[in-house]
Amino acid sequence: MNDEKIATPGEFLGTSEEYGGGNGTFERNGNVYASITGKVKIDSEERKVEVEPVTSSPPIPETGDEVIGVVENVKDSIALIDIKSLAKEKERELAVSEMGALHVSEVSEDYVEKIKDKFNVGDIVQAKIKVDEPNSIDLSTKGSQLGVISASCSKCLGKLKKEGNKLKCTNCGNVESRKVSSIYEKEL
Amino acid sequence: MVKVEKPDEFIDEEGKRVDGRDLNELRPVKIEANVLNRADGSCYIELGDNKIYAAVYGPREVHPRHLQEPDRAIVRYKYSMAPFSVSDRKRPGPGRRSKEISKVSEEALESAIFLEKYPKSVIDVFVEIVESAAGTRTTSLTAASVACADAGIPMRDLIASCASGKIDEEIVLDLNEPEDNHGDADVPVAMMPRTEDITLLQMDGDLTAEEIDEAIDLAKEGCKQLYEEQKNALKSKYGGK
Ligand SMILES: [Zn+2]
Repeated sequence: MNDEKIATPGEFLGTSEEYGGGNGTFERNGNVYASITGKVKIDSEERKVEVEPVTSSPPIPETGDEVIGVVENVKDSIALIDIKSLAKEKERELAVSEMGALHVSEVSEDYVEKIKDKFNVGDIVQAKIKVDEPNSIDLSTKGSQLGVISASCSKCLGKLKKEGNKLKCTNCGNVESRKVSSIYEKEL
Repeated sequence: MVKVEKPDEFIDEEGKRVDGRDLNELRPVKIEANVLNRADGSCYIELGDNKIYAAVYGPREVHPRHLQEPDRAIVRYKYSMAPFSVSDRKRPGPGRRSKEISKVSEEALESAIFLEKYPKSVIDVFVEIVESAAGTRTTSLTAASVACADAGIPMRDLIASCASGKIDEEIVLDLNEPEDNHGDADVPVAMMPRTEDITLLQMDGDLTAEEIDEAIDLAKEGCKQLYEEQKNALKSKYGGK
């Protein structure tokens, strides 16, 4: 693992007899090649070669990742959130946005009766992936940093400003209840 | 900008071309990866007097949705010339020429990218010609492929692209502007250098079958040289050897 050689797409890494190809590689005609630009990591014991990206990479959401999404639908016990990007790499969109489900029991450490008291369609939310299975992503907004990070007034679409645990419309003065993140409007 | 009058002769007694190059010599080339902050991947290239930026976004969601392919990503290639980049006589505008260039460039890139990894998505490639001096379509493609790699998009290989052509009965590499305007033929080629698979091949002008073979072979040599510069651009940007 001491070799810090950087490979580029198409670069020959070894024969399939020498190594199995891991992430960032592909095999063709008995050889292993790099598919991305990155550090060549050789595990001699496992006889495996990988390329660890040095460029930015297309984001793939995984369990434990914090993501940013838009509330698409609010039902009795579930909010559906259209996941747009990873929180750590906001600039880069997901290849295909995925729908995550936030159950009312995962909104907050405190008891929440109805999810519509805490989220509204159109809210921008930061949430954590609890379960990531094909076609089913479960989200959680437990934790002070998680929850709504940007929202507009349900009456006049004015900008909502954080006031304590509530949000107040800067336009009409309407006060709305949300699961507000500690980073509300801070990083947008 | 290079003067575009037709010279009396394209090749002098010593076998040098109007800009002093040998017949099989590329114009000076400079490639830099990751030059634009906002893009997911980017590249700047100079080849002779060509100055071109390529920016890549994605893979990302396709709009409008009916363009989605259920089992793979698509590539959208937008080729545009800055208004001051070409003489009026040659300005292509958003017309047929740039559409045709976009289509063949999309196909070339699609053959190199592992599209099946990103179903239903699009990889958007924007190419901006800041200065144009013959060979923009091939030079743009060379830059676009580096920009895709810079975006971390998995690929079988980079795509290197350049043209050969015919002037004064000789097959030469990488036509400059007077050669392009007044020469006898132009053969743009793109390939994946590892396998030498050709992903773009066009022909403009009169060539015999033998000359075509010679022109393709010469362009492939040019692509291999550009490939070295492409790899260097990526490796030097990210601190490798
Ligand atoms: Zn309001």
